Amino acid sequence: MESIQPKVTDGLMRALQQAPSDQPISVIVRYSASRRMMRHREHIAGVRESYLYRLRPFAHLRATPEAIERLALDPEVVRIYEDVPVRAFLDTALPHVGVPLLWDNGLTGEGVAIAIVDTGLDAEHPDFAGRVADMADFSGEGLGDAHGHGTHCAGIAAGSGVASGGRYRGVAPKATLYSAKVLRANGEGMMSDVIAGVEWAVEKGVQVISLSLGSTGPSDGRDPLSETCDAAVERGINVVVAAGNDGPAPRTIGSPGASRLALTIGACDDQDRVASFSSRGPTADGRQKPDLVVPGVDIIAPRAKGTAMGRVVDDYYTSAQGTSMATPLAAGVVALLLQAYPSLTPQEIRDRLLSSALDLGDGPYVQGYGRLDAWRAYQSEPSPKPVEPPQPPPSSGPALGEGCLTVLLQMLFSGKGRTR
Amino acid sequence: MATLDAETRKYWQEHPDETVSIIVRFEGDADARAEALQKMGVEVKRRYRLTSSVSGTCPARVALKVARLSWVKAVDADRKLRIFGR
Repeated sequence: MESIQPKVTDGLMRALQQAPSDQPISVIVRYSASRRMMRHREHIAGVRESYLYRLRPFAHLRATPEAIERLALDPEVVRIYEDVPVRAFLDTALPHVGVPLLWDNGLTGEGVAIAIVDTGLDAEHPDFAGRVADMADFSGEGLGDAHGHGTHCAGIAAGSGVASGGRYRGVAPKATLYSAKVLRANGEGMMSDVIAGVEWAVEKGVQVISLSLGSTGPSDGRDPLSETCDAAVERGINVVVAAGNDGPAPRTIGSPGASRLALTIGACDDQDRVASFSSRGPTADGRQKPDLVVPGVDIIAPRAKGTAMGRVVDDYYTSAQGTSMATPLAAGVVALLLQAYPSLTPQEIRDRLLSSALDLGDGPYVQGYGRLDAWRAYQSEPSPKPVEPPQPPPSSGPALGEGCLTVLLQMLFSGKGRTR
Repeated sequence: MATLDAETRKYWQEHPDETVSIIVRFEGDADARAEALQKMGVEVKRRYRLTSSVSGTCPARVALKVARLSWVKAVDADRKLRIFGR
């Protein structure tokens, strides 16, 4: 074991010494630039490769201690790291996209109505107290949220965070909420019911509709749900839809992600790495999607009573990830912009968001126009001169640890690997 | 001819008596069209205003007939959607 020590991290060495010899350990291997990883996959018993990173010569493997020792002897293996569990760094996603700066300017979503079209809503959750204007069930199950997904999404968009002392506050904490339950307790539902939910939201007069659901891709955007979303946008309503979780393969955006007029949201983490699961464009007819990427990795938000979706944090909150989580974050930002500039059309909102997005250098079918930047979107037109966002002071707005939803994926080699 | 996915058409042709869930988009007066579809044997479940369409169920052979109507723009099989979070 000592002979491999120069190549393995101290943490991994400890894990190797403690693990049973036949139990696979999750590791990340750094190869030389001239790596030949295929050889490892084919010839080292006890190694199962789960992911090859493309930006750097890294691979995620599951391997037995004995296999890790053999791997370490390979001259093309530079270093082997233990894979580490995600660490929760709260209050990072919303500051990361500039939301607290909008809060500092008095924007809370007050007066703006957001519809969450999803698995329903736990309207008894303290974070929504007094702000649920209406709910409807199109799933046939009855009101409530027996899954938890809809409640989580609603909390990201508009939770007050009161059950956490403000810690897990949503983007637009004073927005009015509407809930259309279109998916059942198993997280699934029929397109015909989802269309009905969108129509209901339109009839209710909401300004923002958030859809964290869809089909597997690819879609050309001419399916009934995508066209319904387009029709809602043509009526002046901002429709925000999830790209899907079928990445990193291309052409994995389904319906309604392929909608022509809706804002399609992919997911990244708080270090601006596009999530591997985030669906990629183009659409089936070759259009650019997603439109934006938004933090959607390990987001802590309200937990519906009696549900166990995601990684439960406590009685009131749970952590989940997906483009589902990125989407209501974007919807909440749209609500803040509408509060600031009520006359903006969906196209104008879209233009602001896309033109102000931060280019991550990942290509249009991966990142769209880039990562959402709420502050820059707020500062763009009609302000004549966009200004650089100030660094949020620790005591400004919701204090660190009091304003946000998310946890951060702590990468082993920060800034070098991409979660792709 | 209305838009109808080739795979769906083939399946319906092979299973004409199977009850299928469909979404029909059309041109013209929504109520009149919905009534016409019901007369053909479509059990209309929902009527949509945003896109002049209905959803419902019928035998596959009826769905194929619907797809041949001049005022029908598209017939889609209703399909399952799912959440994108975990």
